[in-house]
Amino acid sequence: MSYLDKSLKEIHQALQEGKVTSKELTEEALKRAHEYQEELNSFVTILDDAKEEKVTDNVLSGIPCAIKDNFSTKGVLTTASSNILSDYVPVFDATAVAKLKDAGMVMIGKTVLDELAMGGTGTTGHTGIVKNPWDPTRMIGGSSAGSAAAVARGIVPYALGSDTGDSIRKPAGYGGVVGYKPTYGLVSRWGLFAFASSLDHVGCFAKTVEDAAYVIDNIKGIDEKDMTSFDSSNVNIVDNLNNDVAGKKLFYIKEIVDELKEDKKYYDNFLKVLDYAKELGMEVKEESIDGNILRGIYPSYMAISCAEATSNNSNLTGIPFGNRKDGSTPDEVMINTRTEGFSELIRRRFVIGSFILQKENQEKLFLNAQRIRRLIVDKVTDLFKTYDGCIMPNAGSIAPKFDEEHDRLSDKYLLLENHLGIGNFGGFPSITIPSGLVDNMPVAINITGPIMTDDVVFNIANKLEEKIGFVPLSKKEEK
Amino acid sequence: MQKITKENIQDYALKLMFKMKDEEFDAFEKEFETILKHMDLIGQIDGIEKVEPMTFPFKNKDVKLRKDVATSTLTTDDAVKNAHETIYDEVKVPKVVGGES
Repeated sequence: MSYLDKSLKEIHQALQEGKVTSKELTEEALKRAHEYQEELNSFVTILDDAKEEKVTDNVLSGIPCAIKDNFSTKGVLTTASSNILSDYVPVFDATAVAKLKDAGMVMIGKTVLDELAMGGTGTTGHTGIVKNPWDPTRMIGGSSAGSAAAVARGIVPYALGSDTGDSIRKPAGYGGVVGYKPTYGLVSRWGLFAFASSLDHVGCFAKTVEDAAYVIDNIKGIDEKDMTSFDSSNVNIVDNLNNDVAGKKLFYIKEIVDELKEDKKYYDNFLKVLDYAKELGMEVKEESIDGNILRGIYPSYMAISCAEATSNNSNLTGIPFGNRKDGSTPDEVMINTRTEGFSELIRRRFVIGSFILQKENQEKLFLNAQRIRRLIVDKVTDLFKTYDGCIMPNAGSIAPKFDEEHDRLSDKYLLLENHLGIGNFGGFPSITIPSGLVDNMPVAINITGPIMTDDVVFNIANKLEEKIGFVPLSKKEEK
Repeated sequence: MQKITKENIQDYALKLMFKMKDEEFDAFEKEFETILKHMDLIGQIDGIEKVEPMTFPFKNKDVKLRKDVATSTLTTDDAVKNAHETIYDEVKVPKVVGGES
């Protein structure tokens, strides 16, 4: 097995002992990035001039990683997978990127996303669709599609992603890797291209819970450039990974899990994980939430996110930066730039946002969406007074095929396909871990906990991961 | 609430400084009608109008406004680095009122 396929801790040890060098790891990651680019299309940019980094005591030092292409990276093309930013080169680093640089990471590429992170399929980036390494006829999901595919394929041990509705956790589940979205404000959003500021989170992908813990411990922290960040010096994720979880209490939401019962293979997988939780001494109970409120999650998410996106993306005019189109007046320049620069899907989302924000529509659409957000968050927060976390199936199926209809608003699985948005509504820490295979494709479970209990969520996930014993694709096919 | 028509959709698009193409309206209508159908159901939830809208996840106790002290941010060079066309350290755009630039 190549050192690149080992855990971060093992790679770090090998680096310190001189068994492998940062240069060798970087070259290997770059080689794999090119080798799989045609098949998967994970990257917008592969940084062939990536240089090795000095190995220090930091576990991430000298190890290659990939960054989603909606994080500002100084001097490196950053497109958000949109034509409107196809030539944009940031002049500063996002805080999460700067922190990884301080830790000694080696960035080997910028990964493809759904355009401007507004999508869940990995099919709308301006450089083409991203495919699932487990089966290239299937999607990996999005929006952090390239990061998920790159980690699932073993090109890099970890990658940064962003999550506004489920954009890290959904593709992590489809790709058989770990995906983490922290408490809102645990990781600074400075330098992340804003989609919907009240829902956006910075997080990561990794092959194991422990690897993800090392990444989050390195990028978390208060940042004066992000007024929603908080002091998390008392949250130590790696240090608490192996605590005893006996006595912890978990619940699952009946109305959502009921949708899973339609397919025994998926339901059995979920029940098996609940059994593991019980074997670890955890208590698992069923709780009920009003289905009318739950059915409001996705339409409310659409309303809130589209509305926030219209204003967040108003700076994409082509004038101070971006792919400018000609026009005889400044207004014409902006209209032509934005008409040609955004894909049809993005323009549709913006118009939905604009419609929702019109004075005469606000009460029924925008404010009601925000009211549903309050109802669901209050209910879950109330449950968290009794429980340490909520354990749920990550999705209603394995990764869909590209030619299958993928309608998140269809009545079938309306709850099961969209419930991860609860984590964004409330800013709750939320982790997705693989739970096995169905039809030779990965399935996953999700654990979401009370705000600022990221260490507990990781601890529970780590213990369950040990029990599940899932083998990632990159380890399964040893190189 | 307003009705969805081609005219007001184009109007909202133009307010956001872009145009929708004729062939794009059908997909828009289909997607939006489904969202509206679900939002209608939300409107029927008992007492929904009394719930306080939630605009952010939770109150952050560490929020502090920084001191009102001038600091430097971007240099001029950096600020114009990504502009399509510049002149005398400024971004060049077409003339706003009539004629050529």
